[in-house]
Amino acid sequence: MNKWASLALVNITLCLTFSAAANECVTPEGFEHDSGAYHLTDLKSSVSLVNLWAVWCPPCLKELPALDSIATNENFSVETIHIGNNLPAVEERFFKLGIDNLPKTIEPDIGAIHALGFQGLPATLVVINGETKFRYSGYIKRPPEVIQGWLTCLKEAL
Amino acid sequence: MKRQPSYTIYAFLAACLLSFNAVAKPLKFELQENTLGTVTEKNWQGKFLLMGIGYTSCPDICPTTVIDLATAVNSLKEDANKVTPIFISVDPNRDTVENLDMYVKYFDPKMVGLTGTQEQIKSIAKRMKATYGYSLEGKPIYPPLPKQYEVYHSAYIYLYGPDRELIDVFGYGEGGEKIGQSLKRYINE
Repeated sequence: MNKWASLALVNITLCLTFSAAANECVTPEGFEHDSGAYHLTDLKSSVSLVNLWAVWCPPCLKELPALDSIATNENFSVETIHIGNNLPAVEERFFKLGIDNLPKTIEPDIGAIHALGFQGLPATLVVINGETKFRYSGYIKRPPEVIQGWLTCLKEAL
Repeated sequence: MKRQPSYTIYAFLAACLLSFNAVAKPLKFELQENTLGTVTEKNWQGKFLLMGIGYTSCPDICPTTVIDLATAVNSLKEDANKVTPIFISVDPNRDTVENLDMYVKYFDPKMVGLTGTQEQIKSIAKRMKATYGYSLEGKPIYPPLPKQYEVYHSAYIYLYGPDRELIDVFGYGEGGEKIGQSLKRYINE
């Protein structure tokens, strides 16, 4: 077997191993499998929960404290992206809701929602090593502990 | 022998009815705006109106209707002032004109938020051939509304000309950019 064939075999084996391990992580209800490269922002961790939100969206505001409560976990990062260029309003909402651990990233292009294939907000992606693996449309109904356990499992499967 | 009415007469009547329905009535309404007070279709003279309906207290997922209105109008750049984007709330019970104004201004300073009494909203919805209603635990309910209820509505976006005749209707999910391209064509006709 030549060198390239061996490397390809190792790669395939690693992918299959991850895939098998990741399959053991129980996907919380409402998250759907997805695939595609993620380019919207730079991410801090190999496993990231990316949440698109806006100050005018009541379910987004309801969701932020739950996301904040799991944002310091070292196994994954929680990246909140506000759709629309309105930093003062973002800061006011974070202050009112007591949000301490979430980034105030702004995406000025409101067309980003459609570009990512969503029809509304909130919208959430799970990105693993730069690849979108799962998506969720709307308010996440499962408790933050369940999401935290799942993301940790996905990290350990890497 | 009993005479049977001619099928020709029936066909003629049906054709009249169809042609009558096929011509949409021009826009006509009386609603409330935060700073302007009572407004009608005669406000915003000489402008096209790009209109969507909805409500602000979406429970689980918020649609992008107002985003689409803002994106479509802003894509016109120097011609953006030829079109007034209007969002009408069909939930006046919870959406006051003040709250609605604050809500629409998050999307664009040009955005107009309108609502009115149940009668006024019913009247404009009928005129636009839009549908909406209220429900509780899956069953339709009617005003006076209880504290908790859900709102359902059709989600088209309507373009009216300066003469307030309906020009086009855009489906939900078409996206602001695509609607903007159609707007460009219509305002340059």
